[in-house]
Amino acid sequence: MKNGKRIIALAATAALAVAGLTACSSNGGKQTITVWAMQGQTGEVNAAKQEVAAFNKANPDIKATLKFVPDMGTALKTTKADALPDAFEFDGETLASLVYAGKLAKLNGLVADSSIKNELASIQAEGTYSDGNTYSVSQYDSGLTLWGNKSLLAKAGVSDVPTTVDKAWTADQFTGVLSKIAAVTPGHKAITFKENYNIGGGWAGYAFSPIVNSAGEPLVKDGKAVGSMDAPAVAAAFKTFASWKQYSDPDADDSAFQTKRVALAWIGHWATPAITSSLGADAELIPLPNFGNGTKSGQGSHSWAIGAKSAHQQAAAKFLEFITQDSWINNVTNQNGAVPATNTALAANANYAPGGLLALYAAQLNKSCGSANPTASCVTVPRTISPAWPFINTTFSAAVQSIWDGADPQAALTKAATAIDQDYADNGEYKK
Amino acid sequence: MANARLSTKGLFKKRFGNDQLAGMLMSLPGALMLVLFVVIPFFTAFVLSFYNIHLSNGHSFFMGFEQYRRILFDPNTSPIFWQSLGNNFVFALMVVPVQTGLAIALALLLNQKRKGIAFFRTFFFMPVVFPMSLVAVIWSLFYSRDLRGMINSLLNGISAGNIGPIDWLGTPGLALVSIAIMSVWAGVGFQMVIVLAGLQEIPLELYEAASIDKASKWQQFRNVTLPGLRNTLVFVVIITSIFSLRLFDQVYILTSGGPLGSTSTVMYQSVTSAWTDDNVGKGSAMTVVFVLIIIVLTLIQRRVLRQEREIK
Repeated sequence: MKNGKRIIALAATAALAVAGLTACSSNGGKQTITVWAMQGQTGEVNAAKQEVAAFNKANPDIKATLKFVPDMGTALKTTKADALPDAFEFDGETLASLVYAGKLAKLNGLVADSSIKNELASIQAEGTYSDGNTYSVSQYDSGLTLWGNKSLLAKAGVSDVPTTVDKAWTADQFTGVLSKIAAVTPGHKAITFKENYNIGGGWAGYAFSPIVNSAGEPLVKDGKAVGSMDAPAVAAAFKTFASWKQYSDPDADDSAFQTKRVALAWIGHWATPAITSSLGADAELIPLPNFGNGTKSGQGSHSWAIGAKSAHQQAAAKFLEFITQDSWINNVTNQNGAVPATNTALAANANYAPGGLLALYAAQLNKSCGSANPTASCVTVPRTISPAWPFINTTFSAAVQSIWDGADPQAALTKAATAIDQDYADNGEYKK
Repeated sequence: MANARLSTKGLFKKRFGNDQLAGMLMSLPGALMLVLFVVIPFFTAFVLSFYNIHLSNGHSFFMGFEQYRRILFDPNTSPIFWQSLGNNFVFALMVVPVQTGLAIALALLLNQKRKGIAFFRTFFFMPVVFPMSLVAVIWSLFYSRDLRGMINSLLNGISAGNIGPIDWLGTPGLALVSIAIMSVWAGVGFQMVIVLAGLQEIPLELYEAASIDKASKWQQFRNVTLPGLRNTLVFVVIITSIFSLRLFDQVYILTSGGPLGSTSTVMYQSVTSAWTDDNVGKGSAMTVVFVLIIIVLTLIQRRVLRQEREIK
């Protein structure tokens, strides 16, 4: 998903680093803050422009200048802490790496408590580092479920489609469902796992780590992956998962579900606008299958932070408070289909109320497992909040890809887990 | 006076030689570039390879030769490096002969004096102009493993449904071949242009003389064209080998090194170690090993395929 933009990002980073330094100066009592936002979907870009314009209007003593960065991950990785902007958007899964690198400011006491406490529990967990401090806030969270095509499911004779977390199909039931669907679709495929997102390139870290959790394990338990990621129950779950490949549409054109070639899609919230516009009332959310420890799902999306070396942290905090107001959250989530990240915005949105089209997203996120080991009753699990996450992500994803390609699940997972434990050891267990 | 001037000049000439001075001056820009872009990065990589170093967080730990041990000998982490190195060679073995042969064939076809030949030359050269990333994205649609993939649907159509959908990029034995086919298609135009230039350097008189001697077209090709192309072909083979050893873009986009490591290459391992896994030390160590291997290979290749430089 993020391929190909690296070189541009590197070049842009150098230019931005200079810009970040020079722009960060006061003129005539007016504070200037620099804001970096991701060059994401059109809706998100528009929303960011509107937010900054409104913020400048509402705060005559502060001038926020906005820059869009095409590959934020690389930009933040390669920019030194003192060259970072005052406020910036980033991929929430990289929080721990950024804190470990000394690039994020603690938000406790800087951003109003009322703002932080109004964020969903899942977001608060995601923004909290192992030192107990909060380092980020968000405008929206993610939702990961199955989308189902009601009429295709009915045609296949699949009844009792679960729409709440407690009724999720078991993995075995799911196998039966897939074979029923494949019998009635023209290409004999039942589901898209969004293979076009590149399983081994990191898609598995978000989309398929719930399989590990649903088999009863976290990816990493107390800094050790051996014994959790490669537990026998997890290997068994992935054996089942790999058996579903025969029903999977490779989805090279990114529209298997929208064009009704398959009846199910294992996908995130960002597809909501495209799916509802092509399927209308035929689309419904279904929880991911249960591998024994209850259905599990992912959480976390883009987050906002303040640069650790920013000279205008108070002004930057004001900006973060401003954009996490419900009105601005609604403005961006209406455009990108993501789940509003505050309790009040979520409660006020009919789509997420019981019976609403997207109610399952809210129900899942309200049962966040936080950073604790997943239990049977919680649902969404944040990606491991550790500076090791980027390595865990690529290593685990590569293992899932190889299992998908036919490797022995137990051997592939043990190999990945061993490499992850070695990474922890190499880095002094990531203790400061 | 005149004598004195002559003698100092003579002394200088004796020590350095006029040619050598001019030569050194002229090679300076090139040498500078080499130092800047090859020598310095190589030694930087050498130093970095002794550390566990992260771009993202600035922490680093000294590891000595541990990275090398893991790449070359560790039972958990070394197999993928050896597999990748093997893939590099298999890929080169497939691509170098095919691409060179095809380049000669195309060049011979396009070396005719006909109307509109410039159009065809441009046409065959075009894939070289497209960035490899773009070509790979388009070919990923051709290679899709279902019947919607263009190649599968074509084969299925002409075989009346007897050739079922083939998973071109998802079958371990086939994925590297698929990538090789695409790479040859995308790259052959470059070698073709070089061979074409080589062909046009061969004096027409040689062909005339050969035809007076009643040499057939094939004999002319064997005894005039090929010897005339010798230096060109040596260059083409070397450059194609280099291209295939640094195989990366296609793999990164089409297969991420899979399935089961069957398309992984040393460059792919090195880049993803440094950037995706944020392990610059490991990536550096791999490039150091790889550079050493390439130096040895180049020396062997130079010995076997010596260009004829002297004008006889």
